[in-house]
Amino acid sequence: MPNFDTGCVRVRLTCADDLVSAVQVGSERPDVALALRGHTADQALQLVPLLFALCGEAQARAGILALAAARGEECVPRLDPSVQCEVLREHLWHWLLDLPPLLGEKALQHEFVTAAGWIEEGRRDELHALLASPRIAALRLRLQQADESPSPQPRLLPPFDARSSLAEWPRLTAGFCRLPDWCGNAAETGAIARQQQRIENSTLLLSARWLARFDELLDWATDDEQVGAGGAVSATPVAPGIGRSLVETARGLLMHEVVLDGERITDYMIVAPTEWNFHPQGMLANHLLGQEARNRDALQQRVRHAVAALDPCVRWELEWV
Amino acid sequence: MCLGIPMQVVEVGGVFAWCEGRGRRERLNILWLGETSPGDLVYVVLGQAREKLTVQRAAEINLALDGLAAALQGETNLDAYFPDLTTHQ
Repeated sequence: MPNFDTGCVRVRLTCADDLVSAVQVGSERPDVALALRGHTADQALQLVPLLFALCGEAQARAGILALAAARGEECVPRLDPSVQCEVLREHLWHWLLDLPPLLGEKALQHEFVTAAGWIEEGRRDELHALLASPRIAALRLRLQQADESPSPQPRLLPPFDARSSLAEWPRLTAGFCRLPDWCGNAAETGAIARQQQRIENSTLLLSARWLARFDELLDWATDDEQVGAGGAVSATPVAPGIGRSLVETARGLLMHEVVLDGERITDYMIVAPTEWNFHPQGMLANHLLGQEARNRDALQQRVRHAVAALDPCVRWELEWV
Repeated sequence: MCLGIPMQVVEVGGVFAWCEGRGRRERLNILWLGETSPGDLVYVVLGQAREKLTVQRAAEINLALDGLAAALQGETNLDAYFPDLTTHQ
């Protein structure tokens, strides 16, 4: 069976006078929509969760709602329990398995296995007790101590549902899927964008991305989640035979737009969070530009922290130009 | 858009396992999968075994990935890659 390249975020750094003088960020990934065009709507609904088995709930829901919208059915914004569960499990994975090694500590594997079960079983009090435990408090402290410099003026994507998105983006195009923009500029999506009303500073530390994910876990654990949080879904007809859905996934905003000719799909657009967060003019490029580059190992570690904070859904590679 | 691939566990040692699939061989952490044995099929994303797969589910995902690879190479008739789906038309 042939190998299959699932995609890559490539970060190219140019250094001059011991500083990072240029940053190129690019997301390279297969255009999944190619495999969906020409199939019937029902076939697409079976294919999408197969191709995206990890975020299958979010992708499947986005596909179902976009197709229903293409047939004229609106979905008002609401929290989808299955997608929300998937979002919370991803947040938990990042906090208990990814973050500790990044801070030089051991992954909390047993805690993850137990807490993932609590989320599936709806045991909010148990998760709350874990999030409030001294061990997690120590991890939060280490995270904040490890943070170095604030990100320059982050541009956070405002909240959208499917209907309100039409005013901003009347139609989705292949170019927009590769390089999405808000008012002509890059913007960041994810838990931090969903919680921007809680954020006071105009500059943000990298740790703010991790803390925003933590807050979504805490909101669920305290039964205080809001429509618009991770797991929010909505859909709207764009025109006869054209439907759009929006789903707030763990990594941020996911958009599907489907064009039907009868029962057959003639076009399918998917805009994924990684394309927002790893935009060539986005937060990562701005954050790295001008960083001290005398010690390449230290710089590489800073790149690793910044990429992890933004959480790509594909592998990443660093190249020195 | 987290694309992953199915792999097969070939050797287990503690919480790690050597897995093979789609031309790759990788050592992966399997602790959160529960009891895991050689021959088990797992879904791998970003170098991590995320969940166990049934034989049928792994075959369906592999076919879908083959179909996507064919589409990326310009093939337009993908029915051969989705035999179960075309029979549902």
